[in-house]
Amino acid sequence: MALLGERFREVEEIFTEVKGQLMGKIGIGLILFFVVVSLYSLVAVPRNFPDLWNNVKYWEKYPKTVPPSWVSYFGVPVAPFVDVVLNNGTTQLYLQPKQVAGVTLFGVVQTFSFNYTLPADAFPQGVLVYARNVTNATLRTPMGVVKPQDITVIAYVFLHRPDGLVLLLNSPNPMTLADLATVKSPIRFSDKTVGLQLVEYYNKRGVNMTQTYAQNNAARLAFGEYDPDTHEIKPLKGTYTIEVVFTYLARNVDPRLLVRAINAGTIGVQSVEGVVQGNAYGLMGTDDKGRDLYEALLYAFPIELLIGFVAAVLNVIIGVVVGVVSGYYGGWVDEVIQRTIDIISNIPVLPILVLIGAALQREGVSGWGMLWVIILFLVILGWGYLALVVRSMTLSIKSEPYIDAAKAIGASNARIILRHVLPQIIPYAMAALVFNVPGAILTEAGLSVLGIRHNLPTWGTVLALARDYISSGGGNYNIWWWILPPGLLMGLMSVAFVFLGLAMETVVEPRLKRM
Amino acid sequence: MPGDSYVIKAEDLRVWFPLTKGLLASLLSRQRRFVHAVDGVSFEIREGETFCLAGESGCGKSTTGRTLVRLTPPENIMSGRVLFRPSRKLFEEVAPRLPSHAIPEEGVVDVYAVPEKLFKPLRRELQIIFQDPFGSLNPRLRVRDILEEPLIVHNIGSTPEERLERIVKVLETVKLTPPDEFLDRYPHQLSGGQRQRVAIARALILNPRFMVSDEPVSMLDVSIRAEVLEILDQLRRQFNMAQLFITHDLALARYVCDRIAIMYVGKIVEMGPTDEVISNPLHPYTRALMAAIPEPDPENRKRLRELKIKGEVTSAVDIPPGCRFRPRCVAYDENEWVRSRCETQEPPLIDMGRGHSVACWLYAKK
Repeated sequence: MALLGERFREVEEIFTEVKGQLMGKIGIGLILFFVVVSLYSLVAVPRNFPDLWNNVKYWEKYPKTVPPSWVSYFGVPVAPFVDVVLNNGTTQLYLQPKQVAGVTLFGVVQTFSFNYTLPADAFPQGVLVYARNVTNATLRTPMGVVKPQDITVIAYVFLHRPDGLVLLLNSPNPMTLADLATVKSPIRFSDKTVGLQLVEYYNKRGVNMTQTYAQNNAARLAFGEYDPDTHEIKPLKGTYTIEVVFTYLARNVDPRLLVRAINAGTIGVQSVEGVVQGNAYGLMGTDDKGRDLYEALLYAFPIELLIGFVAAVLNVIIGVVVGVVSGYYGGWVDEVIQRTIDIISNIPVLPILVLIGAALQREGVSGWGMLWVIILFLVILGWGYLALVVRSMTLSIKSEPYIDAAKAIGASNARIILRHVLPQIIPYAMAALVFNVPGAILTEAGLSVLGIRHNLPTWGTVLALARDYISSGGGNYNIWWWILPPGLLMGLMSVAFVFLGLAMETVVEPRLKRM
Repeated sequence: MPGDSYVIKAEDLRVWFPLTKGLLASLLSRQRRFVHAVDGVSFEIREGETFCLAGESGCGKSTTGRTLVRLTPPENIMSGRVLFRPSRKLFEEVAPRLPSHAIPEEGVVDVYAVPEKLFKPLRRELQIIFQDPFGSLNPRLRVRDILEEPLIVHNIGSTPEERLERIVKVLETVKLTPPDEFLDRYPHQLSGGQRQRVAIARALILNPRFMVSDEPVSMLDVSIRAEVLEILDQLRRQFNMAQLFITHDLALARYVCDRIAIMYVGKIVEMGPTDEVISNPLHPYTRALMAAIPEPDPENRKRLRELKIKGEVTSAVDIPPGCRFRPRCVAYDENEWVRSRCETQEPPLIDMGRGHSVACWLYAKK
């Protein structure tokens, strides 16, 4: 216990020393920030996030490759992202056919609607609608039993523009209620349907527009106006209404009965999720698959700390133990250890890791398994330098007269190492630990960018995906929201640990202490 | 009064350290070269006696001291042995476990024949004080931790309170009073003399029978030397300890020691009762050393000293054949009749009576 008390005094001493310096304060502050955010991340981001991250369907409704929504405060025109769940459908019986955007509505008609305001000169990317809650019960009527398979449903999505034009956004497709209940895919914006309507609309006004042009620019034309003089599409600001309409058709049922049943909630669509994919999203924007970068970066906080700390702690433990043994015992043990260090410190870390990563990818290892293998190799190849320094420190401590004095009183080697050698190495080891943390994080990120993917959303992964996006030719260099945050976070984390390390160095090397 | 039987005895002790060579050099030549730090030294120290080893730096006196308390790695002991007579109680405690060749006679232990693992209890009675009071105390430990360590190592005192009692007592013995004031100090909060007294206390707390004092005052201010020396002398009388006192200062040796041995490049060249050796030095080297002692008479300060020695200290690696002092010896130049022996044969220690012996061919029978 007395031996343990000794260790704690060292640590305490370091802490007081570090706190007294500006750099130490900044370092500790930043690290505290990273730790707090990591804890928040553990609570806030679901732990199955890597599964969601790799699930393309999950991100379908989000706008693709858009900056964060707060860019509007800097004067960038933003079409907001709107995602609403509508439970307030009204069902009516249209005895007279009603024409809307070339569609004839007749019979049992259920309508959900919501408004979308376009405040700035920007285009949303599109509109998606999900039938979220569909009751597909069997309906018992006096005339017989009606099964969900017997009810045909057609879904329409109408866009009522501020200028009065109404567009049908999807290509209607009859399906049974049973199918509608099981199909999870959304009712999609159809370029073809919209394009046809727009060509007709513009041609009627004497504006020449081809079907191809209309289809290629359908989303923008739907929320904008075509200027035949400049051949430009200008956003149409104002309030739009999006109307989601389901028509129900069933044989052998009194339509009034069906209306009542739908309104009562015993059958039919209960709620609808309407999404307008704006041109900006969330706190940190999205990538080309619509994935929320904020969530990915937040999820990565504890992972980054884990990578850094596990690699650094293992490195330091191995380095200190091996270094002390090598320096203290000397002889052939020392010789073997020194030659081993010569060998491992001459192995190029990055190429080896790229090779190992490639092999793992081939064998289908990914996720945490791959991450651990990477950390393992960072440790195996990383402890050499520290061991060399600790060895030379041990050699110099070993020649101190008080070590001889300890031997003379009969202290065992273990006791001399624990009580007289280690306490002097601990401050240095702590500084080395702190300096080691960003190294592991940056190497892991570097590997991701070099193509070794473990498919966990880490900062390195996010950065690597940005690289892919740019190099695949589809993207621009202006995806700053995608590149800067992971880069800055990595930089900030490095700065935090380097500052702390520099502050700790003054404990190790008192000559650096400033008056 | 010194007893009759010795406490510690060196028998033809040789301590050689191999010169480390580069990989290539050791591949090219099989021959290993050594520093002959101690090269055939024999003496014994009796109970209550203070025995001095004097000589210039590098002559092997510190190595001899360290070897007596087994701080020299056994592989460097080339020949000879160190015999130690522990207290009766300790002997009975360790003897049953020792191999028979480690006990050359009843009550005596061959220090380097004891296996490393079994040597620990013997360390209680073999202690050493080092020259550098700044280096010999771990700067990170308090006085109480430094003094408690030997007790913990040897399982003395079962409770911290018991150990503290002993620590307080030993601090009083070395006159660090009041002890409470010193217990929680770090070495850097102590003066040089106080530090050396803590070092003495650390050696003393185990009740040693034999203690090596390796130049214990040479790094202290002159003003506090007397204080430390007095403590050492008092302890010797109080505990009847045998002491090996290593010094390069003959004036100091005269004040402290009962007997003295003068060493030159790993060998004892002259040995005898201190007063006898100092008042009647026989060996040319001892004479040179005596002449080098500054005289406190201000009348003499402008007088040029006549140097009774020439050249530089012989290397301990390439020792010349014959007498190792020959290259520096003024008597060798002056006495032609002795030269042939000096050049070929190593002079043995020649008994000159009254316990005084000298290793010089000048005193050999012709």
